[in-house]
Amino acid sequence: VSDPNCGDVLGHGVKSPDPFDLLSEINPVDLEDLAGLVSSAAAHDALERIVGERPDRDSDRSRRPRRLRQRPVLPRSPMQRALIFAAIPIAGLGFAFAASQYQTRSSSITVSCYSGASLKTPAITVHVRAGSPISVCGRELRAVEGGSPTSRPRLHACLLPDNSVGVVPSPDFRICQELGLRPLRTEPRRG
Amino acid sequence: MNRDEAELRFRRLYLEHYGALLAYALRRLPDAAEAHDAVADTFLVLWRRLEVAPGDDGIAPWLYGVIRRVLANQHRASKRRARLAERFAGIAAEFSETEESSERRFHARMVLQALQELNERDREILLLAAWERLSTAEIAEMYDCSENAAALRLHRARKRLTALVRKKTGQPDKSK
Repeated sequence: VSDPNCGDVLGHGVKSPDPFDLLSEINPVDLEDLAGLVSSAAAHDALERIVGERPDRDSDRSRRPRRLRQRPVLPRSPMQRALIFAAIPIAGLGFAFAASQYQTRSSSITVSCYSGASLKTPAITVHVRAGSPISVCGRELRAVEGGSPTSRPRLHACLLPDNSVGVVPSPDFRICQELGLRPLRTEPRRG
Repeated sequence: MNRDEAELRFRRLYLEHYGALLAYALRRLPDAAEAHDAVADTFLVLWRRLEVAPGDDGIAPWLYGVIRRVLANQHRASKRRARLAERFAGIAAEFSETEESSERRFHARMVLQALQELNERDREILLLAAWERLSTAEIAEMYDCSENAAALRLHRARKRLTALVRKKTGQPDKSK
């Protein structure tokens, strides 16, 4: 039943695999199969729904007793009231401008798609809202350089020092560490 | 951190960890829509607690801890067991379709059955190591224990799984 060289052997001569090793092989979901899902409409909608929600501290404020929040809003003087009414449209325009600026800055992350395995190679900069940086850069690089996806080395996403994302092509899966950067875990881990 | 910085960080973490968390949920739930909901709930917790969440190096174990609790809160223990059994039966069937060796198919079925008979703590630590590929340091962070304690817990869980599989396949238990 047991062979010192070949591990456990069942009665009919079949090697018995280690249950934990076999469990690792059974792994039913491959991360590579899910790579495109982060760009799906459902993932994007969920992200926008979440960031659209105000943080908890705001909802805590809204739970304060109503009595404390009710204060007189308008001054009694007619002149002061007129000034306030005149200021409302101006403030509205200012708010709309600020909101548009905020929207362009905060609702996407900056991704630099490098053409080689170095941060000194030419790069295309794109703004990604919820797609996978690797698939977005794959598309961009293909559009610029042409060729099939299989003819280019694998793409790797790394975190750049300014908190944006850099995507570099390289056959070396440790390319981010070699560039002194932290890899982004958009790819499956290797044992 | 102002709201602008917080949102940027959150969006980056969402991109980075969405796939891994979805894989975690899909490995444990028979229904894909529920898996997506569990991931969304997990990120909602992150968004609400972003200021107290750990830095980028410790965020993955923290997120796994959150999604584990999200799944635990979805159903009562008895229903959870039934759903896990349903999922594992599906996994065994998927494995059988791709695996040519009938002996390995048989062993895979035994391993998945034995997993269901383990207690939840043993099962989860084995799956975290085998399927999520978490290191013992990351498991230790997730359970808020020392790395040695996590390694010991994993070792014991592996021994219990092996003993159960041996019992099912009629092999003598060498651990005794």
